[in-house]
Amino acid sequence: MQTSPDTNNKINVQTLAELGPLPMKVSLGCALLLPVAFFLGYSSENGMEKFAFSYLQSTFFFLSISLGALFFVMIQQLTRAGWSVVLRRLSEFISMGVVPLAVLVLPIVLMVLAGNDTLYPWANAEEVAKDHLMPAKAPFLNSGFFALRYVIYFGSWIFLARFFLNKSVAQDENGDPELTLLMERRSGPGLLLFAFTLSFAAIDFLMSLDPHWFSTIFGIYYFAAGLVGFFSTLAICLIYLRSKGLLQAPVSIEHLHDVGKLLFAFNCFWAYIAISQYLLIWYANIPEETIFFQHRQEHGWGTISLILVIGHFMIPFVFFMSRWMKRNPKTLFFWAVYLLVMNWIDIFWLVLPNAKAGGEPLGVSFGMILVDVCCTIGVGGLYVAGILKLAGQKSVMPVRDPRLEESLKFHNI
Amino acid sequence: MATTIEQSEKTKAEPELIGLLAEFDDPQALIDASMKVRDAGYRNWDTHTPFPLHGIDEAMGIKFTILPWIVAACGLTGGTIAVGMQYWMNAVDYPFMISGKPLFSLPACIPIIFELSVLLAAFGAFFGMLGLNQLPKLYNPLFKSDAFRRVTNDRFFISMDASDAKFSEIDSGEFLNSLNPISVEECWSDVSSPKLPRNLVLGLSLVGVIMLLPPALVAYKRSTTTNTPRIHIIPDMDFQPSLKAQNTTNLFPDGREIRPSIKGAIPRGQFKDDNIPFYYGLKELPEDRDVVGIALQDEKKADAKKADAKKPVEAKAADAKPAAGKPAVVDAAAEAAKKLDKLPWVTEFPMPVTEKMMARGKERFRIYCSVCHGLSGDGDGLVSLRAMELLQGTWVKPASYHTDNVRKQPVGRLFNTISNGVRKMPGYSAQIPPEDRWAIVLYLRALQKSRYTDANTLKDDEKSKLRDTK
Repeated sequence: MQTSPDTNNKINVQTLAELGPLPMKVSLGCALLLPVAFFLGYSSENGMEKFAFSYLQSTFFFLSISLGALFFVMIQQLTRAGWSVVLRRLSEFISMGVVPLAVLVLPIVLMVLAGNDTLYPWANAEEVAKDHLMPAKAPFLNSGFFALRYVIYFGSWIFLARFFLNKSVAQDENGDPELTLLMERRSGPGLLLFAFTLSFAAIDFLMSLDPHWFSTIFGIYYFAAGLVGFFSTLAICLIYLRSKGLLQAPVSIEHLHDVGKLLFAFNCFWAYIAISQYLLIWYANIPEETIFFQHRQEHGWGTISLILVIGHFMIPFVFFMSRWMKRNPKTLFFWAVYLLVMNWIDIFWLVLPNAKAGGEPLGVSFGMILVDVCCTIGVGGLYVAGILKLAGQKSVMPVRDPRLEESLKFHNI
Repeated sequence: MATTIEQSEKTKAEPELIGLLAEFDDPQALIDASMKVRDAGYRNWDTHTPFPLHGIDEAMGIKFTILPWIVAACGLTGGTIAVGMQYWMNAVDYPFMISGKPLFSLPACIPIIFELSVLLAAFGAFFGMLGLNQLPKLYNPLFKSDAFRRVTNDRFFISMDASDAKFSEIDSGEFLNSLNPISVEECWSDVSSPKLPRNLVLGLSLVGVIMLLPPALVAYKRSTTTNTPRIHIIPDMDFQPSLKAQNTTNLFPDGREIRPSIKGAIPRGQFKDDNIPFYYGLKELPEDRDVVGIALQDEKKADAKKADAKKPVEAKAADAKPAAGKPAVVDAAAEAAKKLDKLPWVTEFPMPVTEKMMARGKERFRIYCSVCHGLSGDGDGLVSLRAMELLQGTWVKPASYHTDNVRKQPVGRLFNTISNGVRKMPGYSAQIPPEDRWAIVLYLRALQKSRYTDANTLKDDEKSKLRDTK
């Protein structure tokens, strides 16, 4: 491989710090909504259940985005992609969101360790003993092993995210092309580790909310949701940063177009996985499987399910398909925000129908949505603040990556 | 490529100028020249490069391709065909109820919709691309030029078609020369024969003949019979090791494959309380509780004998006891029927009759009964029709509900028939809960009534309703 060109002469290093203190202040301000959500929950009927599930939903909404970013970073390295070099550092920053999230998810794990069964019925030994199926699943679904798995999952993700960011940042300093080769070699096993940890984490934290129900495609469903979330976030960040003068020249409309294409493609992928899960359960019509969709057709959840079918798939499929929509920053920004909201509703639809109070499932209510929105903004504030802190003074672009030239000249046909 | 070759008989003798070819050695020079040709107002011209050139579309003034619209239209067509085809097949042409599932349901159609949309969209993309590029083209006069050979290597060309309205041999030549090309060349039409090469004709004919073989083989196999047994591709599926009724096994000490029910066990949902009419269709149980069962068995036995007597007529004729069985069998059947007739069947429904019950009865009837008895109860269901075709003599046709015999039967007797079966019909008490069986009886009564109602006794609004419904 050729030695990387010293591009420092041509490209001045930009950092997120150039945005000024405002983003950090805004995100910390948003974080104040987290206690607000807590008190909203505390003061309303069945509020603690609402808050607990909203908190789980919020953390796993942002986790899906960070995991999507981690996947993107590794797949770009694995495939030796040239076009995406200018976007990769930003993706690496987003993937570092697993660090603040590891702390944010900790209370959920502590709750399980304390034997609280608000979220997970299997955490309560008495309930497990009364049940016919949970004792059989107890060797896997028990609080000790759950906590251990939490450590493994987040340990792996933090390790992977830090590895790819640090090696890439080190290359900014010395321009060593060997680092690129090292990252390429590590990305293969890294993706394998990622695939297992993500699937099992989705099963542990989201699917086991209903310990009787199972779906073997669930991990991929969460993965698909995460990629939709990540590409939306990436498009929003790029367009925002460009408007603030960062990455304006390096990230051209061609790159935005490709991010839009990936967003569209993974939205279709999400729909494909969702219908695959639905169709098999619908066709087999076995009560222990259909219960998942039955829950989501009652107590107002039917509306949310329909919003997902029409809003998450059909509308973007028809209107976001055209090339023009993806090549115009304004329309791309609109669709990215729209699909991010849809992704939020998707995770909301996965988590909240499991909320029960006194054995009775809670229906969709304004209070529930309010608590969840406040909670999401609060958690999001901490998440973004964490990413900004970790990004610090690092360049927003891998300025001495050997494939930078290729990326800068990238052009769609 | 806009240049085309149209060879008439006349041009065979005299070559015609069909275009000009300008050669460039630099992609940027080609782009600059293209802009000038575009601005000069030429339409039938093209550029040729060894690799895809960014910016050439704008330089040539080519509009964005309409291919996406063709693909979208084909995809939509595919999706529409898929929905229409499945609707027509499942709900219109061959409506076959399978375990109570709706005849047409969108989720079941989605895989086919997806596949057909993708298939037609791909066809649209592939053939649309070929069509828009005017491909495949077997011959292009440009290939006659020696200089043009370098187009796949390191040279860039502009070709201008003589059919362009602005084209004139002298002006256009001068214009092209003003673009600073390496050279400008004239293209003349080919005077040699446009016939295909002999080897190609032979090869294509051979491929054509080979392609005829598979259909010919299929046609041959379909029109002949064979003695070799069919090939079992998946023997595990054809010969399953599962236990079946009426067979023996050494797995259990009693040697029966089907397990008898445990004494005193009540199957789920089969508990019967004191409501005799509801569970048995009888006003009261006869003192001998088994009388219903015995009567039924008698009838079945008699029926089996009758079939027996019918079948080997020739064999029996040679036997020592000619035709002796026949009257006896008829006697037994009549006796059994009489026994059943004598039982105290209920003549009224043991529950209030409601509209809801009728709807339920219709639904259940279509699920369980219509496959044999037909949707209108004439005994012409699809299973029956098929069985008549396959089994010929041995299949006992299901009864029509519209015979006097069935019409006269009290509701309790009909209920009993559904529960315990009659002749070849098995009992359905295990599949259908009693309230549903009663609902079916109710619907059955409605079907019978529909045949024997005098139109003159109907009210006007009922008549108009009948006329309007299809």
